[in-house]
Amino acid sequence: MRRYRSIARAAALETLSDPLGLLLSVSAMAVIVLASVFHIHQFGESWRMARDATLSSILVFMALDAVFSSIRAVRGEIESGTLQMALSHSVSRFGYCAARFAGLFAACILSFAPVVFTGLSIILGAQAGGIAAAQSGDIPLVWGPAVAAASASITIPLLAGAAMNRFANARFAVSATVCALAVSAVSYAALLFYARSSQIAMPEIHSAALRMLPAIALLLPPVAVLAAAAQAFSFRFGENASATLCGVFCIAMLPALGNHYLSETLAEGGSVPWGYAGLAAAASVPFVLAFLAAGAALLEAKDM
Amino acid sequence: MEYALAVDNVRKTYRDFWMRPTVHAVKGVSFSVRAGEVFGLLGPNGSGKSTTIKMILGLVRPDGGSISVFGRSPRTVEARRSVGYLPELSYMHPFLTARETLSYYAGLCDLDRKTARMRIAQLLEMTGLQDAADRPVGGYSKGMARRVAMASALVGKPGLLVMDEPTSGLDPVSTSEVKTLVKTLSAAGMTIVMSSHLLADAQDVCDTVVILNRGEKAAEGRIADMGSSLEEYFLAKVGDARNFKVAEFLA
Amino acid sequence: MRGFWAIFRLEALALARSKTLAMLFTASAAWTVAAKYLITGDGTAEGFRALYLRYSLGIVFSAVLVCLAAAAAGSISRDRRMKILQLTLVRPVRHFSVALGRIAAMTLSGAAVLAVCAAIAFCIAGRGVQCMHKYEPALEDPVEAAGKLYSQYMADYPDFRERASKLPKRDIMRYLIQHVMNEYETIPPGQTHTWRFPGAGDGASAVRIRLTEMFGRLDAPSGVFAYRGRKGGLGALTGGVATVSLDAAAGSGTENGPSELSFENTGRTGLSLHPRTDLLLLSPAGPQAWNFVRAVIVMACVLVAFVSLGMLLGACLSRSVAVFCVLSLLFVMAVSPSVTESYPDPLEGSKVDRMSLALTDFAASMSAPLNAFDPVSRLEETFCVEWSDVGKAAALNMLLLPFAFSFLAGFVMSRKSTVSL
Repeated sequence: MRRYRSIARAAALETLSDPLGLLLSVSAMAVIVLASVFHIHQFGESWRMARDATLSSILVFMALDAVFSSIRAVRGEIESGTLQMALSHSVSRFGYCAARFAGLFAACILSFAPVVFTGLSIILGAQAGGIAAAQSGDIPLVWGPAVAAASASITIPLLAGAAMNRFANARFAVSATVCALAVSAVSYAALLFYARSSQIAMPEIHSAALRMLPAIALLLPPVAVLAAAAQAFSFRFGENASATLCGVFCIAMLPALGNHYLSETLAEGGSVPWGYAGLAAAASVPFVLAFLAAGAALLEAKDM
Repeated sequence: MEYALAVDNVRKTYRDFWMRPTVHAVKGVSFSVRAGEVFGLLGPNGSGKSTTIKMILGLVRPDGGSISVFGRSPRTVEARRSVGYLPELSYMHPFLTARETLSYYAGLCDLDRKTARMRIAQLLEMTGLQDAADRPVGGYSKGMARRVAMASALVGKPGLLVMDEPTSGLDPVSTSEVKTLVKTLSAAGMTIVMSSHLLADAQDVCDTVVILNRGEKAAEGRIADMGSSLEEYFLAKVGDARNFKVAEFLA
Repeated sequence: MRGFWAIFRLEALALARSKTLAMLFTASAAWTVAAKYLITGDGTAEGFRALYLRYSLGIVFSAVLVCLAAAAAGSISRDRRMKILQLTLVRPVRHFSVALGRIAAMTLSGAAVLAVCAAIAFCIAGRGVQCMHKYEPALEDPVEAAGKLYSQYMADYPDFRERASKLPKRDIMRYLIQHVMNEYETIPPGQTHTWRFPGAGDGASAVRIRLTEMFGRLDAPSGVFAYRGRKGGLGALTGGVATVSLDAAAGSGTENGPSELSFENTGRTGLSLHPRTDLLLLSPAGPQAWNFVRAVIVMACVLVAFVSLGMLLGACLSRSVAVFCVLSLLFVMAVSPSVTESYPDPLEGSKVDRMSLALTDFAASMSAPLNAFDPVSRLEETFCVEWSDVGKAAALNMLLLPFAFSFLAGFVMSRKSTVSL
């Protein structure tokens, strides 16, 4: 078990070290903030905009991260010969594929957790702004502290990552990602506390943010299936061909990826039950296993 | 005297993103190579041989000092016209055949079609690759790939051939072939600069050597003046072998 | 020069043998054919043609642009990672031609894919169709008109003066230009309006008009256009748009000035239109075949610009970051013009909104030269892609940008090799 854990750890570290993951998660956060702050397009519905931007950004950017990180990592291992090195040890092909996948997916979740917190902050801010506007009759704006918290979640980690790299020789992308997680979580918590103390937080604001969580969880299974598929394809095909195959596979999966149904459920005051997220996760397991097995079979058939 | 290559007090420090020095690779090295000479650049790993070679090729910009190749800066196109390069590992486009690879480098050397075709045929014959000339080099063995790389370096008939570890990873027969080739090219008037840490190879083919250690010049001279064993001379200049504590590890 | 050709050939072989080009070619051609069966249109031949071209050639063009820009961004960094680049850089070849050769090979490959798909699209939706030169009415320059409005408002309205003092003049002018562009004319029943078309000449044979406020009309709009003795009646509209043929009417002389188009509203309700955007005089410009050829040349020009940009980014950055940046730039460039167009009154927005608008405006203005020619929508509407546009597109995208970007890429390559080797 220990050997698979070290494969998973190496895969996670490799994914986190790649600046692409950081770039994608920062882009996702920027899209959420910008889409919500520029209220002029929103016809006074910044809360809907914040919610849709959060769900869409997480899905699109995380899927991109999972697919491209999988492909690049596997092709990089094949080209540099480290795959041969790993397989010359006593690890099974399936175990290797599964451990790599687990490490990569964990890294993707870690990279995108700050995006979730940022989205929740902005949603909270949009709702608070909406309530304030309803009372004053002004145009609804996203609550200032929420924008500040979200902006801090983007800028502080980048600066901290640079500082860690400059003064402690730490990897920029890894330290920035870890810092983003910490800053966004703390910002969200501080925002909740501040809202409560400012008498702005109403029960529905809090519950609306919490209702997002199962909806976000529902986005993870398709991303996991995509990551497993990308890994399997890249054992056999080159980078471009694997990316194209993933694109085709993604188009085929598109109906299942649509989060607008979730948005509508949430918009009507409903919530996505956690059970649905569990069911989706369970339904994705056979697909992930099938792709891991396919990856192992392709690896078995590969002359290295 | 006309020198094919003159390296004068060159220094190179590699820096990180923040421009902090990470490695002082070369610290004021000077030497010169006469036309037609086989010159050895010797030293242990990390002594600055590869950096020096890259500066000679114009791939790395020195922080100080100067280099001239046939009287010109190596970063000019004119200087590169007279230089051939054999890298340590045979980096090649895997999707090209040997013939296409040579044709590509002939194009880069500005050879006209007729000359290129003739020279490629000669080089394929010289390296014994005629039968495999139309197979993608991605499927070649290490030795074959090395021969293609050697042919690529020679396709422009350079005045100065720079070889980075030319015998690394080759079997004894191929090593002997390379050494013979170096001697033949030298006899034909080509100047050759080779880096190596295989002292026996250097002793067999080089006229003059410079020994680098930790980025500095430890010694320079003609092989004939260094006594019967280059290895003893080298160890005397560079220091003792590292004392690996194998017994402790095995225990 | 031989160095350039050697690199050109190498990149072409790399594309051909990596199967990327084959996949792109197969997928593009298959989609161009399949779209014929998947698109039904609005039941009219024109409707089908427009929809088919938008969703076949339009999508293929976008796909080729994205794929090749991404491939260009990955090309140099891939060679640098595999350490093949150093073997090229030590040869007597100028570093900018390393980038230029690759740009040429990629663009030609993409242009070949586009040409084949355009040929298929022409066979399906272009045969027997004539394309048209379009002429816009000669109206006052919108910037000048906005300037006059600004002076007038400043003089006459103290309210405006007060608000304007708090805002940058650029924002106000932008609003006024938008206002001028959206200004519409209403033609009451029984009245005639005229517009001047100085460039149209004698050959104009049709008018294309788009009417606004079609909702809630009690009767079908009707009226008569007249131009140089030829007349045509406004008939059925599809989605508010009608193309009216002008025929020589027996016995009628030149009623208007020599370059004037007149419209007499013979209906019972007034008609509204934006003359700056919704009124065009058309004259025949020959068969669509040549129009397709010109459109493919313009598409290839745009392709060169993005491939060059991708190459420059690839020389500067690591592969994945370069690919991400070039795709993001493509997205921003594609989206920003429509965002600025649809932006409502910038004077009503907050400071943050004005800032976002300025940013989007900047992105739109940067991409304006690339978006200006829009070959696919011209094919859709059977408008002629003029040779003058082809010339402008070629001058900017085939001469200026690739050389400029290649020089920069060559410079970066020679500097960056010191770090990455």
